[in-house]
Amino acid sequence: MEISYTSEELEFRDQVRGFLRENLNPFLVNAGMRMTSIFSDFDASLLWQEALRRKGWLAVGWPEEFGGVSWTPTQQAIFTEESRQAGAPMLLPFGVQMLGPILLKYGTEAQKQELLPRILSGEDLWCQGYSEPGSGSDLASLRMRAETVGDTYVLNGSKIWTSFAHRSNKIFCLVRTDSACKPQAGISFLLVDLDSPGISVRPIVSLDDEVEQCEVFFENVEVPRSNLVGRENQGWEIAKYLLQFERGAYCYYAAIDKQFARLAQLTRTISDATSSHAGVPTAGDAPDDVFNHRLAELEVDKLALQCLERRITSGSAINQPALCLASVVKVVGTELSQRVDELCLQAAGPYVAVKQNEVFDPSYEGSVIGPESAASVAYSYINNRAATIYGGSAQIQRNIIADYLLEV
Amino acid sequence: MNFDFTEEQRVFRDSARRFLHDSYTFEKRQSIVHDDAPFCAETWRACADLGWLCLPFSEQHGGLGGDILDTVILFEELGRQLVIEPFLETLILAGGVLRRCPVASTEGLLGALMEGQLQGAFAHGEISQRNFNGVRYARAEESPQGFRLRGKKVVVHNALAADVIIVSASLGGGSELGLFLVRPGDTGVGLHGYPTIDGRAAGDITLNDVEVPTNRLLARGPTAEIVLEQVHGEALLALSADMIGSMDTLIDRTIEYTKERRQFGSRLVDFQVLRHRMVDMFVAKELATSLCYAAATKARDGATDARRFAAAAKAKADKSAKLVAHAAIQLHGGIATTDELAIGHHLKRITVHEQRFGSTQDQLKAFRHLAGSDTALPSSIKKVA
Repeated sequence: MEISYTSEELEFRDQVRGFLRENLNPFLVNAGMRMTSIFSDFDASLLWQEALRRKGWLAVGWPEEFGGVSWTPTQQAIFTEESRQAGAPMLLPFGVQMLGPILLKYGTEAQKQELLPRILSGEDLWCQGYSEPGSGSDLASLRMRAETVGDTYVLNGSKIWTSFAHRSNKIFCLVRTDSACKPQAGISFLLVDLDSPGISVRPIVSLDDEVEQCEVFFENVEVPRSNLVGRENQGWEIAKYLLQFERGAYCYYAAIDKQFARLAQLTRTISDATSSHAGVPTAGDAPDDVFNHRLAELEVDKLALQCLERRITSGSAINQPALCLASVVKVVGTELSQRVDELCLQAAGPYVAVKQNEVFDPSYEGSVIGPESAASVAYSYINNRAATIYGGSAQIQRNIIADYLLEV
Repeated sequence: MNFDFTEEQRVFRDSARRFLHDSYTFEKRQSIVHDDAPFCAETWRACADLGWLCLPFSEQHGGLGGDILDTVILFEELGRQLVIEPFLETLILAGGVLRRCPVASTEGLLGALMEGQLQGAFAHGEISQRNFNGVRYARAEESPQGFRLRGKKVVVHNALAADVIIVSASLGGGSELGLFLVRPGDTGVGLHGYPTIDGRAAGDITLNDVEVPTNRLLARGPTAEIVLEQVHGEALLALSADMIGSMDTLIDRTIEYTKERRQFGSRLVDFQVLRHRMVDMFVAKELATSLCYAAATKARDGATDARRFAAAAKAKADKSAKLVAHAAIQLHGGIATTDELAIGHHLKRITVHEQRFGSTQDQLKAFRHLAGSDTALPSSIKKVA
């Protein structure tokens, strides 16, 4: 058992650190640090994607002929941890991390040759059309129809929770191609141009007054049959295949560590303010002790999560398959990050009330009301309630884990 | 980076598991508990024959040269089967102090211990020290013969069976720590024994001007503090591992039971609310296990944050073990509240372990103060040194 990095891993970490030092500018770091959701500023994400492409570090896990780079799970984890610590913007996952591996495994040669380079170059910006208004956790019940008419599919229906559909030009969809069978067996995986006639995009305003999510409507939208990925009715298998790519890229710890860094900044500000008012009687120290105890609890949980992630990424058997462990880490990571958010609220105190959306713009240089580190606390907390809903809710994850744990 | 045990360690774990599974059934365990003797001498001898008592001692002492990871493996198996024999007291505490303090009075003791001929106890806790690190009133005054010990130690596990008792005391009543070797037969040693709720035995020890020769002072000052700190750290990991073993059993038994038991025409395991509860049990165990293994590796490597990791591991094991035990009882229903099932006995064991070497809250406090954390908010409450 060796929990420290090998000298090769440390060398890789130094390379990553050097790259981050040289390539992150204030705008990008602002985008990384002023996040109030899991996404960074859209434009900053694209700039960062381009910087990584130039370095050859964008397409992790893709074959070399398509511009990919091969990293071990530990290297991936190192890259993620270092990126979060340095304040790098988040990458948009839809093209490189989601569609890429699918095309590599199920796409035709023509699809690979045409689409993979356009993903890396940022020419194509993809979004993901899975959920529907009537199909959330029960995804296999999706109803958006794709009917064969000659050489085309004709699409009717709608998709929802489509992140950045309003900023994208393409969407990959799960569609219903057969209704007469078991729901999972009648789903196909289809690539669609968002500028096709009959598509309309409705932005959805979130609780922070910002738009990241959309609803996408399809009315008699014609799509060439050559846009089918894999075989007809193979879509469910393809969607499940994608889940495996979560393996090795566990990064909940890194994101939570960043939350703690923000919290540390905030408590430092409070400590400084407290000491500059030395001599003024305060309401007593009991609340701080409660805060500090809670903090220690969460720090221990953070440490446990880190150890669990490392135990999994290093490939040590926990006697459960990778898909189950991905669900374990998702449950633990998202629920813990929500608890950290709640402690951040306690530290920010009355400043959680202040609405100042403009300060989250990475190019904003004006003043901030209250401690700067308190500005994002309330919206981070509110937006992060979605963490246990998206990507398979905490309850769905527990169903998945239970299937492995209780039946095998 | 890897969290894998070596082939040798896996072989040891498998053989320990097989041995205890075959020879230390729950029925056997209960008969040992209800017997007059504090533990089963025959089992102890069998474990000595298997070499378990040599495990943590170096080859130069005649041991097997195992490290803390081997100890973790052993204690997982002990917890799994609710073993009541005093491995922690004799092997980790008394043995841990003795092997770090090679003075004349300890000669031959380790050899006897490894052969299964010697029992130990660690008399550290006092009525004033709920959290293990509080004020110490037991004092050692210099006397013409050596030292004169005075004070009272409470809830000393394995006190009645111990041939050697390691006693902590303040030298001259000051802040300097001394670790002494006391024999139960020494004049002035009073023992008041009682059973513990987890099927074992402990006792209060009074030291009424116990005269010990100078060579019974095993360590003093900073050396003694380091010995105490190291042994304390190992005890935290051993207890964590023991609770991980308990969790393993509790989860296995609960899954088995919910597959057999039927209510409302269905197996319990088919109810989603119960499935999710079992998932939470599994997740809690894996988190505690991951942290315990990482902490053990830190301790083995002598990392600067090893002690901080040990405190974190114990805090997490405490909490996870409670969560798992509570859920196991809840899912079994009434039957798990009886003496007949092992389930409740695991909760009793965990309840005792949670308060040993500092409660969960004490671990969190230690973790905080060892952290040098700049995240904490200011507080007027004085830090425990």
